[in-house]
Amino acid sequence: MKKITLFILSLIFISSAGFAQEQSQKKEKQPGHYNISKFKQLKEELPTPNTYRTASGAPGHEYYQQQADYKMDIILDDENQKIFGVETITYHNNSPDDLEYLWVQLDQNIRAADAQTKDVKAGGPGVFYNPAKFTQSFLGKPFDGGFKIDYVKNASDNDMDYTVNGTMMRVDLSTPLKSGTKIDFKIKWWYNIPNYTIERGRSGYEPFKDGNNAYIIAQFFPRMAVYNDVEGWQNLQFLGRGEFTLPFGNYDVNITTPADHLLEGTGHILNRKEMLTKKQWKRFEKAQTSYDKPLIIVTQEEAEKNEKGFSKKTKTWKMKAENVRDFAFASSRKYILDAQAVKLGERTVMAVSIYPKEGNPLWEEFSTKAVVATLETYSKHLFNYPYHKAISVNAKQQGMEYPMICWNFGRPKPDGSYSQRTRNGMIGVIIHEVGHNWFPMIVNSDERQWGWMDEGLNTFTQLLAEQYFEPGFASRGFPKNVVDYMDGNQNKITPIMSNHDNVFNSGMNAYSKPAAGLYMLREVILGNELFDKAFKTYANRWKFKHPTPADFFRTMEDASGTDLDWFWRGWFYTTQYNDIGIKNVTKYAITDKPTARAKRMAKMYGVDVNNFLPALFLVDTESGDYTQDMANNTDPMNDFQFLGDYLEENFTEEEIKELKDTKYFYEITFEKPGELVMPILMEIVYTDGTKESKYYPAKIWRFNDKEIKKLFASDKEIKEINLDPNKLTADVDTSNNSWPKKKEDSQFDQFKKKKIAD
Amino acid sequence: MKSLKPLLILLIVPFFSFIAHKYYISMTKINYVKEEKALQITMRFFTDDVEKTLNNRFKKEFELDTKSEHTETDKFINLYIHQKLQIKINESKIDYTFLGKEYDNDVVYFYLESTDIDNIKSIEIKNRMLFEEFKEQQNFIKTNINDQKHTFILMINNDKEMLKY
Repeated sequence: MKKITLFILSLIFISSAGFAQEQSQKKEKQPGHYNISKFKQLKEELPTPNTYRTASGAPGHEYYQQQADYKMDIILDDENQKIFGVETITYHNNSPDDLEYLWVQLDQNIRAADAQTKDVKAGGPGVFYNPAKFTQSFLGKPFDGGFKIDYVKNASDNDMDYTVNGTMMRVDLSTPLKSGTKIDFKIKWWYNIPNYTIERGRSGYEPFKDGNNAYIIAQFFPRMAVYNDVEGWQNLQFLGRGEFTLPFGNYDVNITTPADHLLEGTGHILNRKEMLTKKQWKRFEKAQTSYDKPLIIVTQEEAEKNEKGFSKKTKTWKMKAENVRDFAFASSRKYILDAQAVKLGERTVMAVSIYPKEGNPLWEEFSTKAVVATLETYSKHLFNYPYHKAISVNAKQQGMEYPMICWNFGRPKPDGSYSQRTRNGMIGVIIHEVGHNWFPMIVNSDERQWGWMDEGLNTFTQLLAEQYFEPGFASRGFPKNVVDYMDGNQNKITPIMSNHDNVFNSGMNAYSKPAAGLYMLREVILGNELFDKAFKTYANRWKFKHPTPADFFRTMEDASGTDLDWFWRGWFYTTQYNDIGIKNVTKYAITDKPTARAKRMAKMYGVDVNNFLPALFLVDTESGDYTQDMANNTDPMNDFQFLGDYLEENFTEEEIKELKDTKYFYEITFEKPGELVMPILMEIVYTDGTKESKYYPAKIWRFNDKEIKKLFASDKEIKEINLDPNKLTADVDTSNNSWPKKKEDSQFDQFKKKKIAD
Repeated sequence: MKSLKPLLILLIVPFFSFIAHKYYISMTKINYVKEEKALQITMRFFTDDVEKTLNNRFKKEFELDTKSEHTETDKFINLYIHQKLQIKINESKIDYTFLGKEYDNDVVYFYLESTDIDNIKSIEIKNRMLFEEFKEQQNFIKTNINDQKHTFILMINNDKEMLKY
């Protein structure tokens, strides 16, 4: 019995190969080609693994990274909206290389009157120019922004040579900085703080009608560029979109502000007790154990009183931050402060919000709660938040992240009312920006090169946090949200693996599409357990380090034990889209009489077809082999004596009872007009109303990229089949997703019907 | 000039480092249903973009998708669309009816229909919606007419497209 089955199997295998050969001989001779398989490994795209970065995606045994420590004295001049600083940088050369010069980032120079940013942006006139913009643009009075460098001095207080190249500055060394050594040097600088509500950008001040300014100060000091094993010195100019890549280091910062300002920023405020009233300090201490709700530390009443002061005196905030990649702060008379304690493992972390009264009542109700939800969810999925606090600052039109602190938009109307849209927008931005503490503040990818590595991974984790905060929240990372983008004009789409400054649609390209890709990996391709372990492994391997795309791709495969090269290739390296459909479904009947196909094969190999009887054959009900009487074969075990005999000889009575009562056979033809390879998610609805799901992995498309057939057997009759019913794979055309073909009401028809019903 | 000042201040284009939606896009789907001789149009916009545009244009607070939404919102939307969306079929301008709108999270859909269209040999679509507010606005158009699908983008300096069948 067994022998015969084997014989038939081998026969089928041989015959199909022979058949294919025969066909190709009839065709014109085709040209050859390189490996065009969509499952080809990414060896040519990814860099060769080495001792710095391993093939498994982990840091190698010789992995190194530079360190930059800063001691700074900063003065915030509120009256003139200027900021002054003197900083001493201690730069540790941990690389195996001797460095002939150092590169420093001068991101503020994007606002210099002669900045390249404007010149590299093509386009005709603006739609409108407000008076300030018109004066700046055409009347020869541009905003006088950018760093004014007073000096660069070495440790012996002698001037050092430096050259400014746009948003970068090269500091020349008299002798190379040897591997394993460090250097101290000092920069004195100042600049005019821009009104960011006019000048745009990620930092500056917002003026209020009451005469106060709220400062959100970032990218405000000359910062060391990254030097590493993949890029050497970072050398992309800051054009506005590609954000920052910075080494880790320790910060000692003194910030002098007007005496009535409230400041929050990266790191510990060492003299906080002096900065608060006795009452406020008591509230601050009490908040350290307030795990269930935020406590207000500086009240609205106190802030409203404070904002009328306009003190001429100053005070100095002493700040200390360890192992951070940047430093930022917010300062104003107008700030209200609240905080809640969050338990993460053994440690307590503070969730903090500061906002002007213009943010209330929205901010006192939701900001700190959203910070708490972020800390809890991200810690669970990645690693426990390692810093002692996470601050959400209310700032008009902003959404921007720095270590421990971020700026977030969202204000109610003057009467205090707000729409659901305003509320959700604010919660979404807070979760997103606080979430950036993980990507890229700690998992320190190169934002200037790859926007998606922090934005995409963060938008995905944001989705998890939003669903935890409020199930059903309208998160942007769902695959259904990228369908229109992926179905759009190919001339305006770039692959995810494109430099951030050079993509047409950053929102889709760097945020939504990579997030949707990770969502698909988690929900469809790997499943939650494998995905979560791999994602966590990536975050933990690269926390406080500098990962590259290859390190991410490799770790996800290594830790999940799954080859995903086809997925990275399609979703990340191309602009291809997914469209899978059902072309046809054919019913098969069962018989013990050899079919024409069996006879043909037997003949081809000179075998008598009767040699492999008794056997069962499946017959296409639309073929010539099919006869009416086959419709009666609905109970194979009893209809075919030899099958019954086989079962009785090989199985116990109990085992036979448990066997499936399979009697329906369907050949499903799947078509794939889309170029992406994707798994097939099939929902089968039976005539009795029950449903079943069937999953075919993407590798089902290995040998035919356009069309494949699959036999599906069941004990129940199929009423309909639906592909990807939960819209998990960003299928751009769902009109071919069902059998029998459904004439689905378009969105337009649905609306019209509803309208008539009203 | 003086009266224009508050308007100009309101017109400042916001810039989000994080995107609430850092990109300004809309999607208009235009389908011709031959059996009904109807051109069915579904437009999708970000609600806050539309609100800002309407507020500035008509000097009112529309408060879209809130309990205090302006009672005549539909009237003004209809007016606005008719000012900004022009369609020519077989080289003559056609009219369409604004059927209504629908909100879904942060987006709003507009539904328009034009009837008694016997055949389409050519269609010209001009969509200048939101251009006066957002320089970067991209209006995507997807057509499905006579079993042919086309996608294109209309922008401020390229605001119309003609298709022939």
